[in-house]
Amino acid sequence: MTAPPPLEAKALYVSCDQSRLHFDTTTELEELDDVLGQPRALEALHFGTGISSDGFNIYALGTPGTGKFETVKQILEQQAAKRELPPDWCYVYNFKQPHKPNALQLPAGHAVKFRDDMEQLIDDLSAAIPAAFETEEYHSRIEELERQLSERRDGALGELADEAARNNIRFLHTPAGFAFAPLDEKGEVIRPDAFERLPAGEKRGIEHTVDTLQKKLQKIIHQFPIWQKETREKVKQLEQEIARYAVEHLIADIKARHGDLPEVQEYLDDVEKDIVDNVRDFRPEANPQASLLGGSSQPQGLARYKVNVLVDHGGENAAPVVYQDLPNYANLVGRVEYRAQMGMLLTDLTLIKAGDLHRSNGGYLILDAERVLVQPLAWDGLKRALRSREIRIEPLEKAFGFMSTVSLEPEPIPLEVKVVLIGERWLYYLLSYHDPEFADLFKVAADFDEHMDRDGEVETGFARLLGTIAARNRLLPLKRQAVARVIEHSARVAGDSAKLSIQLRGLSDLLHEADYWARRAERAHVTRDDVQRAIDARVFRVDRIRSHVYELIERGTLKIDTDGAKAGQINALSVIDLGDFSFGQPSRVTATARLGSGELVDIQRETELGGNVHSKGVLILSHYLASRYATNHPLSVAASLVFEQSYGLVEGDSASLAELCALLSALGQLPIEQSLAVTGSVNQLGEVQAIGSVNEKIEGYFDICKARGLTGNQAVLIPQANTRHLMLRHDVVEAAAAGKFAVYAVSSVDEAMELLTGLAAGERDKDGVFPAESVNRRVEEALISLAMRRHEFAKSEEGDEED
Amino acid sequence: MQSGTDTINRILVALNPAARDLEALEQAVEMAARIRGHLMALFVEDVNLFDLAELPFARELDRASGSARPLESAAVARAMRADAERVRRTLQAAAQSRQISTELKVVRGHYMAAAVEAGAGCNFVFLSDATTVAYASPRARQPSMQRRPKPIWVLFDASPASERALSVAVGLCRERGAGLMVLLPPDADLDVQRSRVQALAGAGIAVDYHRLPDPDSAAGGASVMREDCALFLVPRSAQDVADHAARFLKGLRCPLVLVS
Repeated sequence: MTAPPPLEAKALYVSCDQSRLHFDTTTELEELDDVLGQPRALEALHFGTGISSDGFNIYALGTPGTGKFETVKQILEQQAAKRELPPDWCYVYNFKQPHKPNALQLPAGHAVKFRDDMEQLIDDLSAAIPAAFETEEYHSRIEELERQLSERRDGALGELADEAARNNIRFLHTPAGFAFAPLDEKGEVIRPDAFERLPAGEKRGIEHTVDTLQKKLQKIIHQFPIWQKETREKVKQLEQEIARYAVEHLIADIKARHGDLPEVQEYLDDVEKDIVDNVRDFRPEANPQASLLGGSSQPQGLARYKVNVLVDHGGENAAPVVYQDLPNYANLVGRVEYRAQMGMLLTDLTLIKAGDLHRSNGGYLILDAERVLVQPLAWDGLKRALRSREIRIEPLEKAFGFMSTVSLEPEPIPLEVKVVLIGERWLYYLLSYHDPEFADLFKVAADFDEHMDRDGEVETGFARLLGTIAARNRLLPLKRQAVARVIEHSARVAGDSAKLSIQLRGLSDLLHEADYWARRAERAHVTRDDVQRAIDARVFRVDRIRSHVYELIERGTLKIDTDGAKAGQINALSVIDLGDFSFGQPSRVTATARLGSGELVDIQRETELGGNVHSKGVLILSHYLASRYATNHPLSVAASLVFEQSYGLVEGDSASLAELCALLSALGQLPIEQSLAVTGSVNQLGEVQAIGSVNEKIEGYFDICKARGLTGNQAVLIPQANTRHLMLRHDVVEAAAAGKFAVYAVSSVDEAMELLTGLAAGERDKDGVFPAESVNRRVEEALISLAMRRHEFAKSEEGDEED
Repeated sequence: MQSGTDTINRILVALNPAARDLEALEQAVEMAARIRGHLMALFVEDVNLFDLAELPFARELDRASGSARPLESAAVARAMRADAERVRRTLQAAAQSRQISTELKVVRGHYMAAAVEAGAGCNFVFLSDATTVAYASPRARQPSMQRRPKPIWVLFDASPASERALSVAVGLCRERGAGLMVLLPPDADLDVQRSRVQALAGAGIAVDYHRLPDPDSAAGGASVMREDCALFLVPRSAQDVADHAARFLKGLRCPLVLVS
């Protein structure tokens, strides 16, 4: 085996071929109307918006910043433009069950007209009804009815009084009622002593007569409520007659204006009947408290004819596309508000407020999945509405079951909406796993990719995308070179020279920042330098921790050797991820070996500072050792591995190649070149596997070497599989081109060991023996030696026991 | 002509507790305030009720339910005292709010006789019918609509007392915006009396004229009753006052005011 040569500089960075960009600035490019690079998501969105069956709502999943919202909105608006305008909805009074306002569906744009007409009607009624009851004719007829009642009562009592008088008995008013008193010969009420002196028969006769009169009077008194009721009925009929006369022409006027709407005609018939039946409620004297309460001059009862326009599509020309930033329960399904009045909370149908389900009904509703889930009951409310296909406004306390106060129960409104949830993948999978209803209600997954393949055609489209972003955000147009730099940066963000990141948010931010620097330099276009400066400035703003770590290395606080050679010691590379910024950090890994029985101690794991994946990587090493070097004898080594000066959790297996090399070095006492750093994971067969963040790791080691002075011997060993991911910084590429720094791509442990030790790794010959002075020979011999010593040690122990 | 306000300064209102309404008292208060007169309320406890209550079979039928219960003297006395107290409070409130001088006198006797006796030196005597069987509803009044004010009636026989009555009636009509109904004797010359009334009443008052059907008729009040009436002012006759009053009170549903 021969150690691989260093990678050529052009392999470290795949530049954008500017000859394929046929423009000078992005102003020459057409705006990009279509979405770039999301074929799977677009197909899902078109399918989801096209299908009308139940449950085919959409979950747009992907990492933040991939343009999910913009894409979804764009697609939905395109679809909405093809759909008919949904109807308007309003709530009106329910004459049979006042606490359950009726929902009225009207053609788009009619609700407001109807509401205004009803407002006008209320105004008109508030004047017309009192006026109708202030006429001379009405007063005369009422007085006539009252007089009739009075005469009827007085006549009946008068006749009885006359009958009593004929029997020499007087009809008297008492403080609480009536009484009959016998009279003496002078016509005065007989004195008790005079009555006592009367003959017994005469006394009985008087008593009998009084008793008879009392019974007659009782019958008359019992008739009074009946007569009163009859009079009230007549008064009511008269009032209804007058009310009908006052309102029928007003109602007819509105009916004529909404003649094509049967629901409105029916409602107006109910209104007319209600006014006539309850006309007393609308007369000013029916509400004397109104002025005290600061109420309207309108009779209070008339307010019930107000129309609450819940959804108005007047002036719109497409089905609604609604996005709710705060999708709490009330904002989704609507709410009933209350107003405080004289220490009480009151409500009426005008205080019913629409939710986003109402506003988007007949169209589309876009929601942030995570925000819906964190709002109490919002997720349940949304699911219930979608499941029942109706919007039912219920107070939150009722939904919770906490309280059962008297409130309004608005009639549910039929729901036909396509909901698009936008969220991250983990949430999608979490919901799929834990919420059975989720799969029933959100059957379409629109999966947004973070990357797209990078080729000439895509780069041209990407250039149009940049031009579109610049134009729509009123940014300076980009020069071709600037576009090329952005494309290259996108490949770096993707971590793959053959891919482009389509993190639109990050892209837009970069363009804004480049625009800032271009304007500061008073340029009319954004140049490559502006883009580069934006990238550098952004890194500078967030790399305080990196600088601090590098400073510790420079000062020797964190020990990293970049020259010389040592056995059992190697430079591994790890990545510190700060969220919006990550950087590579060299770490020293050391290994020790002694006589043992095959134990490989991962000190990180023993101290619970190693993650599971890291531990897995270390366990692989011991099996690699045993299978490669100790197939015919016991693995009689006790080795230990440690990340020196590491005090946090070490996770991942990207250091397993370095750890294996350190271990082999310790076993064979093979000095490792400290000018080299290693990254890569390794399997049981000794094959080197790809790792993540290869660019950051290389640059991290390069920065340390550069600070100490590039010698030309310094290099990084990376897995062969990672070469396509290389998009290194220009200074790294330039150093490599100048022979001052190198990157080696290795595919096996043997290749790595050859580079690290300068010795051939060595292959077993036909007898199964490694060549002399090869890496593997040294390692195998060391292991055999340990095995023999262990055997001898075991024999001597057995002898001691026999003795 | 003599000015009314120079001579009219004593007003008597004879209250019949059985009538159970304070309309006469309210009207008397208003008149006293208008003419700055002294108002005396005479509360007559009807002796007939006390006599009746002593009879063994005395029963009272409840005004609202018609149920019968024994009529007892003590209960009648309690009710009378309560009514008298109500009158006293009303008078007291009126004296404060309307800035008039008032007094209350409670007597037990026959209503008309007591009223005639107490009203001997008064310029205005307010009476209500103590014998009429008119029904007063026990129920609380419902809010009534704003109605036009009832007219004021006055019997004008060209006597000085009737001229004073007319003068007071005109004043009240102007205050209330009410109409004036003038009742003329059967033998009066209509045109002449009209001219006199118009001259006394002045402009701006709607006057309607009626004629008493029969000078000896006992149904003078009844003829007024058929029309609407807020107050009926009658010049006090030199004849027997009780008979004179009773003649006009018969069937009358508003207070009668005898004017001297």
